[in-house]
Amino acid sequence: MKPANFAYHRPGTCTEAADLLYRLRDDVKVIAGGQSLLPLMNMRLAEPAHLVDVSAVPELRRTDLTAEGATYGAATTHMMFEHQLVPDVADGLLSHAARGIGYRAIRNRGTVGGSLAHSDSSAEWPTVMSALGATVHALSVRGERRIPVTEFLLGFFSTALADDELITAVSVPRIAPGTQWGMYKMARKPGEFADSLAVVQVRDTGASTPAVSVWLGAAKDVPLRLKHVEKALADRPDRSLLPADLSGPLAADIGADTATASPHDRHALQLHAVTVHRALMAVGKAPHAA
Amino acid sequence: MNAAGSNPARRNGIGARTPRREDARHLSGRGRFVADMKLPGLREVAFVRSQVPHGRIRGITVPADAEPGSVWTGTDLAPIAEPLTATSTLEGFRAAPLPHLAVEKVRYVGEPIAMVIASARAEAEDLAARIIVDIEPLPAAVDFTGALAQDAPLVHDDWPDNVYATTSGDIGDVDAVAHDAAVTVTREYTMNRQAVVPLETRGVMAQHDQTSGQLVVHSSTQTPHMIRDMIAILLGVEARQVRVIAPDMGGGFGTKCSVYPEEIALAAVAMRLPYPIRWVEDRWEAMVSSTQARDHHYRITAHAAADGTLLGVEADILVNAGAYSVHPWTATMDATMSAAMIPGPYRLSNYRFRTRSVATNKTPLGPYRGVARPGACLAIERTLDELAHALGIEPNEMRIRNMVRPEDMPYTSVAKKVYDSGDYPEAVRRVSALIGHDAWRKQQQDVSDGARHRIGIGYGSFTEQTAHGCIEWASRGLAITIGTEGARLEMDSSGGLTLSVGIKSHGQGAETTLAQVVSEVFDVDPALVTVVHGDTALTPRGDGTFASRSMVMAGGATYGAAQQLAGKVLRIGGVLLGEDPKKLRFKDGAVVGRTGSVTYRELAKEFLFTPDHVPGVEAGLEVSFYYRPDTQTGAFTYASHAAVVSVDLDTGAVSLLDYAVVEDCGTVVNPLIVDGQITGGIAQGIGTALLEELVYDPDGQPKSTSFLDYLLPGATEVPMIKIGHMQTPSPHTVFGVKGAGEGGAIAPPAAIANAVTDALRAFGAEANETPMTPVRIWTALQDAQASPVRGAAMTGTDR
Amino acid sequence: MPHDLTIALRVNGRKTEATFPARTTLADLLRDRLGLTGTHLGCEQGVCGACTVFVDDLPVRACLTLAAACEGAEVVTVEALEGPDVEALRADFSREGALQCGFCTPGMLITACDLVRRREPLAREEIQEAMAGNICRCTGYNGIVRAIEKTVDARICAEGP
Repeated sequence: MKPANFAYHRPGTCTEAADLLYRLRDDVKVIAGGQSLLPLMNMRLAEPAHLVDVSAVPELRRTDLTAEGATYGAATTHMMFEHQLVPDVADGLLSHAARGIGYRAIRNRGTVGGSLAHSDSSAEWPTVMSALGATVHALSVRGERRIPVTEFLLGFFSTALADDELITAVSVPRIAPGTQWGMYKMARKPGEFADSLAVVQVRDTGASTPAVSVWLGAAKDVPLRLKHVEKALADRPDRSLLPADLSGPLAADIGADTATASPHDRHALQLHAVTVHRALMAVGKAPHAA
Repeated sequence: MNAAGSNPARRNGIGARTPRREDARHLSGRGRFVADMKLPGLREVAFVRSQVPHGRIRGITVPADAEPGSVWTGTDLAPIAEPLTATSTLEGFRAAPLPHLAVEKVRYVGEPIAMVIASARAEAEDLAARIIVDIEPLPAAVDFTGALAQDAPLVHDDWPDNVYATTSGDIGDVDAVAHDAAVTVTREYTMNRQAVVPLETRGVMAQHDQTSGQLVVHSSTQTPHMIRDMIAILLGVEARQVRVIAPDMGGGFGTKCSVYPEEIALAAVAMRLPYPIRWVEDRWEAMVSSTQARDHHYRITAHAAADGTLLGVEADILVNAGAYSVHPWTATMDATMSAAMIPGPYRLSNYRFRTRSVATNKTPLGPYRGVARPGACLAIERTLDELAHALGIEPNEMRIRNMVRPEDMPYTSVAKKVYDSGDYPEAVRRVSALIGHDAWRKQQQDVSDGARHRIGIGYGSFTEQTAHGCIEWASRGLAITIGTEGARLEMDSSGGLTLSVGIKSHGQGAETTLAQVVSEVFDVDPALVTVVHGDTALTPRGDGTFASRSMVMAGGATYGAAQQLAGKVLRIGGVLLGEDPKKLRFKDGAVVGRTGSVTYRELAKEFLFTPDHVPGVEAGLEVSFYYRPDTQTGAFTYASHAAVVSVDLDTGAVSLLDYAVVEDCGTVVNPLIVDGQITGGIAQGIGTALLEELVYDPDGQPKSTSFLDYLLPGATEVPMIKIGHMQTPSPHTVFGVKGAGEGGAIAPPAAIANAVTDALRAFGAEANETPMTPVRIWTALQDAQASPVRGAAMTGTDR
Repeated sequence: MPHDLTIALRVNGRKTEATFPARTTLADLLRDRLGLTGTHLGCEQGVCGACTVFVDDLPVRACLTLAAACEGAEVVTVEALEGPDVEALRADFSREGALQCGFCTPGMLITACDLVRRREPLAREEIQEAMAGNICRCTGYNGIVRAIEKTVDARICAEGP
């Protein structure tokens, strides 16, 4: 179980990396922490001819903080979010989400950019970044472009990134004042990928009913915004919906046909309903940003 | 020889919590495993393996630029190594010769097809990837229904069906007691297939030593002497020309005690190469080509009287044994053992059973800690709980009422096993107290109806044959009737002791416990006794470490050797001290008499350097002793486990709130090590119960072949285990020791399934299939709630 | 065939220059080229944790780290773990039955060492959670958890704030 051969490139700047990617675009992969890519390469499920290692590019570790939010370098590790070595503009949600990723040894190397590029909807960052309205910064020889995460994630292992494009950063808007969040990850064991993953944000708008957004991971190949669930919640200001109340709207959001579903699919839907319920219950209860 | 022979004055003898001598090297990263070895010119091996469950090989194309001698196929190997056939004396048994590299057909995903040699593993994988194997896929026999169907694809073309063997028995009169029974229940249980997963995968390194002409094979194996014998037989050489070394091993748990194709293939090819070769199994290979475990199905009908007395049991047992029968255990090992273990620790006179061992296009089944016992225990213990529930009896009380009592010992079970000793009901009483039965019952009742979880208590009891002799293995039809262990003890010229044994310790701490046996006799610090194991050139013949046998068998051999050597040392001491040897004793590394003492160092030097100073004592300061138990029916270790679970009604997730065990493995040699065996076994049993499953799709493709999708228990899945010991020495063994290796893994599936079912009683849902995954438990709950009568409909004749 | 790479790094306190094919992982570099076979490979999928080593003071999976990415890094393996914390851990591992076959032990020690170094008092559940990324197939973890508890108690709690 050893990787196939590849040529290794270690650029020192983003521009250099973009040049390499352009030149090698026919068969190249970017590696940062490697925590998603190397298992695949060890099993020879991925055999890129060229590997561009961006772990030595200092720009990719920079954080820029503004009044609107923060731009995190793509090579910011999960560990840095977890321990708030970078500012958490989402009032603790980024730190909370990072803590659930894999194990400490994985979090020490795995990066936010790598996780988004891998596009596995049962991982934390795709759903959390979708919920927060984050934007991916992509660089190529043609210049930089910004892609909302929701448009960036196209499917399992599939993104809007061109073959010669590099994620340089992720911008996360500051969570709006008066917003409370709740997140719940359902997994068989700590550190496993999620069976279900929900992020709820409740924003007090001054109106009688607060604005609620609900995002779900691990249900489809990309994170889903649960419009039907949100609508059901709009009718219940106390958000006291039980899993049983949620499965109907959830099925509509996911596009599941409960009548014909297999026991596994029925259980999956139930897990999502429970996960959303628990995320709702968790709103405002997790520790806030330091 | 029994417990009375032990000497309570020994600080590091039998019963001492001696720290393990193995620890220091592992804690500093200085263990030496097969993958750690370095040899000049060593080349690495990768295997091309079948990616299809069943198919006919039409051709194998080797790249034209492959170096000569770098690729070996079944055709190349056939003339230099005979295929392995695990024979059995069981009536009607069908043998299934196991080719080392597939020829004509492949019969499971992972079956080796070609062996590739290169200077590094990655390069061997490169070349392996370029070998094209043209296979015509065939429909696969996968599960019981498919494999037993009239028109099932045949795994072995010349068989009439896919059954290795059928066994049956009918003792007493089950039909008569069925008629009189107050309650009869019928249930079906499934224990799904799992992997064994020693953390170190298998590994083999083979070198033909051009100087000595000897083939030296390093293998991560529990049975070095057996591997040596089989290499010699299959390669057509004499055993003296083969040396097998098992170095440090990262666990085995049974999956490293069969003879494997890779061992034979590397040995055969190395004979023809001027350089050493090594294969280190990768994790994917381990998940598909190391022997797998369990895959049982049971249909049990049991009858009981109104007072709970178990009147009769009928068992129909199916075992999915995979594509081949492994040597020496054979494909019927699980089935026959299961049939014998269904009666459990209970007084039962009427028993009817049938077993069928089914061939399928899955990886061959082999031993795994407990072998068939976890399945048999699940089946009988779950059934007992259903009887108890139907009669309104508490499950612990139901067990106590039916168990073999101390006054019944020795007790010959309905399956003709001779239970040797112990107080089975007392173990249930003690474990009930240890877990806090009454307190948990109260907590269970305090859970409100509206809560989204339920608490349940469950018990699992068993009695387990350990360290059995030849007659037991013969009764199972094995070609090799295991039952002897050798030990050689030598005192060197500096008075040090070196013990060599034929077993292979691979985590059990035998370097410590066997040194304790020597210490028991000689009163030396165990750290000063070298224990050599796992090298056929350096150790007397032995069968290996499996079947909870090493402490009894190698311990017995060690004690025998130590006793004989002790006699001689005392005689030497008698001459040197001028005293009657019968009046001398050992203390602190010296022979002590009334008038003086002589240290082992002085004594050995005198005797070995200047034997003329010690007239009247024959030469030589070493003894070989072979142990074979006089009574071969084994020493029965027994235990009762108790589990408390919380079941999440919303998700079906099961979490363990508490776990306790009271066990009796006879005289405990080292409590630290025995507790470690119990806790480690329970952790594996928790894996069987809740997490581990090798999922095969309907076409026979294994779907959970990496650690990313095969879940193992971690630190968060195993609660702190409460352990209680009873110590009833076996009358049949040295020191009264019974085997302790497997027991921990046997009862957790039963105890946890009973606890989950107890938690869900109000809903009528039952946990009858392992692993008890959230989807299974939640679906059982949904089904029970959808049709409350289903339980009765499914299970037939509750009355 | 791609060219071999040469990097400079520090391994167990010693300046080292290593040349290897690009596809070499840190685990294989340590084991095959530097003779440090205490770092074990149990899965090469990043799950079992047996290959855990310190890179720049952080525990990482050596099987999921390219050797090439370790240019200039400071790598510490089980063979060079030293200091009072580690000696206490080793003694407690042995006393509490925290190892049997020894294969997971190097990764367990590195992870435990990282945990103890943080100098935080830890509840049992926190220890279990922190060790969840290291698989032990032999001990059932009870001994490992107890050993770390003891070390934490003796080396952190007893020292006071």
